[in-house]
Amino acid sequence: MSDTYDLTIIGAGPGGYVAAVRAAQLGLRVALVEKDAPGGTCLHWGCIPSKHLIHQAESFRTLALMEAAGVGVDRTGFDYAKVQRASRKVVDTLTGGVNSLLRRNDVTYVEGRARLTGRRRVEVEGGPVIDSNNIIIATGSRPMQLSGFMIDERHVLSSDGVLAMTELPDSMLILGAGAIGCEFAFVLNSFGVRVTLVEAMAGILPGEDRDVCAVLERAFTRDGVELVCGMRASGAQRGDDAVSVTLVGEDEERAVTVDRVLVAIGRTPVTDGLGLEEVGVRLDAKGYVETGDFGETDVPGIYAIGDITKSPALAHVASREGQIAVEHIAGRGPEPRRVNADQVPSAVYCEPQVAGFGLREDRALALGIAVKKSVFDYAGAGKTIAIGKSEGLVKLLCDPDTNELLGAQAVGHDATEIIHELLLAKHGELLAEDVASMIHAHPTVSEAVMEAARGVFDRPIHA
Amino acid sequence: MPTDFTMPKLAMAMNEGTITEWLVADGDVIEKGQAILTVETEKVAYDLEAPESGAIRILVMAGETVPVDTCIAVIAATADELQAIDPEAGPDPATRAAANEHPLIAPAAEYADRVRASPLARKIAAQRGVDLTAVTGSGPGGRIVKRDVVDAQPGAAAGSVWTAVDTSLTELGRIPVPGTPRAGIARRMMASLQSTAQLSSFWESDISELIRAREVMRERAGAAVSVNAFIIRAMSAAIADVPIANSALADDEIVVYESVNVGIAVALPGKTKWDSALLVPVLRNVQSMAVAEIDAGMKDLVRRAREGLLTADETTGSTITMSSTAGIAPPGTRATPVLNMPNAVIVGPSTPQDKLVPIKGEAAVRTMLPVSMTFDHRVLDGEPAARFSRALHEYLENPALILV
Ligand SMILES: Cc1cc2nc3c(=O)[nH]c(=O)nc-3n(C[C@H](O)[C@H](O)[C@H](O)COP(=O)(O)OP(=O)(O)OC[C@H]3O[C@@H](n4cnc5c(N)ncnc54)[C@H](O)[C@@H]3O)c2cc1C
Repeated sequence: MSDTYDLTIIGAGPGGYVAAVRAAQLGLRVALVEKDAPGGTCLHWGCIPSKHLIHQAESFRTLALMEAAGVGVDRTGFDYAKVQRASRKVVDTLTGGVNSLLRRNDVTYVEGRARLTGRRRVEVEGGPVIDSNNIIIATGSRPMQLSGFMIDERHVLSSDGVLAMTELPDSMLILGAGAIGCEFAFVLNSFGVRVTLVEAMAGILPGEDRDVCAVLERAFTRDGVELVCGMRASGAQRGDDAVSVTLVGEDEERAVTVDRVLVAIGRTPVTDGLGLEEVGVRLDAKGYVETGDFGETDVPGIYAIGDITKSPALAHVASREGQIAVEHIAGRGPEPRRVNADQVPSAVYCEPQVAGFGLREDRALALGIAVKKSVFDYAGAGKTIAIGKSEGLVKLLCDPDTNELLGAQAVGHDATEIIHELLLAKHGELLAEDVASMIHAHPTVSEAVMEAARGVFDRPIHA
Repeated sequence: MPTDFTMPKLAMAMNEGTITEWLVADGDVIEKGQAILTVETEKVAYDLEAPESGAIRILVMAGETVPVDTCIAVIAATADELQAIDPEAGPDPATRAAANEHPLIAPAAEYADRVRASPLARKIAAQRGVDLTAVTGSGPGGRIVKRDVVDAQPGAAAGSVWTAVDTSLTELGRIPVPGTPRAGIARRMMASLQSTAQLSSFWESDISELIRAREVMRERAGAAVSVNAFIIRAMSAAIADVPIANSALADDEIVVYESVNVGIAVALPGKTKWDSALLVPVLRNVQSMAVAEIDAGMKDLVRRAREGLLTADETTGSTITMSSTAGIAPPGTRATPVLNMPNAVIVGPSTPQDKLVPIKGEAAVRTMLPVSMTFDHRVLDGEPAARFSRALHEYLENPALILV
């Protein structure tokens, strides 16, 4: 491997492998170094296995519907290990898919741990030294540690540990009610685990719209998830097969004893031990890489994408950042320079689902941005009643003068799918009128989107 | 089963076709092989035959241009079946045709609909009075998006249109742009270059005879007639020979004018001692004027332009433009004049120079006028444009022909 590559990418997550394929499509000579298997957190310990478990959890729940119809259901043979195994099978299938994608595109795939030993040089542990005109760092993130809660993946787990778990505990305390915490709360609760969901902030999914979160909180509470908001865990005592956790609130302290604890308070960038600072790449105090346009770092020719940058830690953001960097390296047009933060969809996949983008109401209030707001309840769209999924809402925030879409949120069945109609509208600069005047099939959940859009400038029909 | 009859791809390069005429009426029973309509592409007109026999429902009216593969008619086996396809349409094809014609006119009337812009960009443009035809799109496929409209606005941060100022350089001064005539000139010039198909040509005309005629006129009448008046007269005469040079592309039609209204570019002092301004007053109905009359009218317009006394009427309605740099530019200058929209032709004479020219085998000193001309290739092709410049050339060289 003595000759020089056009591009070397470290990390084959959704950021790195998508960048590699795109680079190969654009005719670059590209090497991709990965220490584990291609697909990254997203494929192995993130999006994919978690979505599979959510799907299984939903199927499991529908057994109750069958029972209501008189079907006798015998749950005694239920074996969670089989559920877990199925999720790994999905991961294996997709890993094969990524592998063949890389092969078909002639990406040089190198297995091993990589580090920079120069501004144009990547060294693979026990492997080759690669000289490269450009380098993209895409090493992703790992679960964030919480002091006093050393992750042992036996009693105190990270999301990796929960995904690897083949046996369900009786009870689980989840620290952190972000997307990951909420999704696991849903899965475990569906399979009958007693779940306590603890969030230090005032409500679950901090950062999402309050009205939206209220719908999810109601659903959680109804399903028996114990929500503890406004309290933080101060310490844990491990017993033989139980953990006792102390929760501290403003004027309250309480101890909870559970079988297992899941620490899901966030993720930290994997930027240590890579030789980044040694070659002049600047990191911030938390270890995120400082980047400019196209994801370029302070060192020209070295780029950073995905979870190691300060943009939202989402797979689709990592992939798009990879494409932007590669198109720039390949000398494609100057636009876009960055991911447009207003057009990044967020998605939480429990039932009801939560999705949204752009301006949120609390931010509009805090920043003094005038908005026209329209909220439409799922129940107004007949389909949701028909399929028993009437809890939910669609909320739009528009510019009062032009009806430009500034932000949209949805909570409810299929919210992560229907949000894209609004996102396309935002992306294509369509107005609320355009969405409202488009004929939507009846009966669909998307009718709620149409009605919410109508509410921006007129009155919805079914409200 | 009724079958769709679509606009066929008649040539490799054909993307759309214009239905020039339906040879059958809506509802007619037609025979396979019968010619049923005429379609015109950029290059040729074709008669199209019915692919099968049956009753025809015409969906796209004559005069419309549609992309290849657009369904333009439906052919049903029988008149009854035809009726069944479209029961709401009513039995009377004439009423339907009339109703169908309506939407053909509507979009054409509003030019804005031909501009590719996002709904948000349109709304903001309407609210702020920004002319979308003068805005360059930076969105997907060149579509005008919000930022383009915001940037194009007079009063918008100058940095969005002009490059950032390097403050380390020593400056003579600054010339304000937004809200001044310069902003309008900039927009119009950009719009012209970006939305028309400009082609320029150059030649020299021997104006020695014309100069002599001018001398004679001065001796007789005591007043000097400007060479430009002769040029305008020659343009008017050349238009009589090649009328398409006096036209404009408006919406979907080329309008060929009878009136010859010549826009005359006039340079004016600018806001500061460094810049200039530009006005194009219009001398109307030149086709019925003699040289002396043109001269008087032109001089009056130019004087009033300089004094700021022009009415709005006098700066609009041109059908062709003349922009002379004679006396300012170095002798023999050729340029590529920028079309003054919506005119299809601009004629740009410059400073004449005396040259040795062979006349009947002898070297003679002649006064040669360099003429540059730009035309809009969307409106006219090279052949008529060349005929027009040839006619103009002949009239300039033989002023006797235009002095009558
Ligand atoms: C439980 C869970 C659920 C999630 N669900 C979703 C979801 O539904 N939707 C969504 O958009 N996002 C989701 N995410 C987030 C998503 O997984 C990440 O945003 C995404 O994986 C980031 O991609 P990346 O390419 O930046 O990094 P990663 O996917 O983390 O990939 C980085 C890769 O780099 C490799 N690597 C690291 N260091 C080195 C080295 N020195 N040498 C060689 N290779 C190295 C790693 O092995 C890894 O394969 C979820 C995350 C978790 C944990």
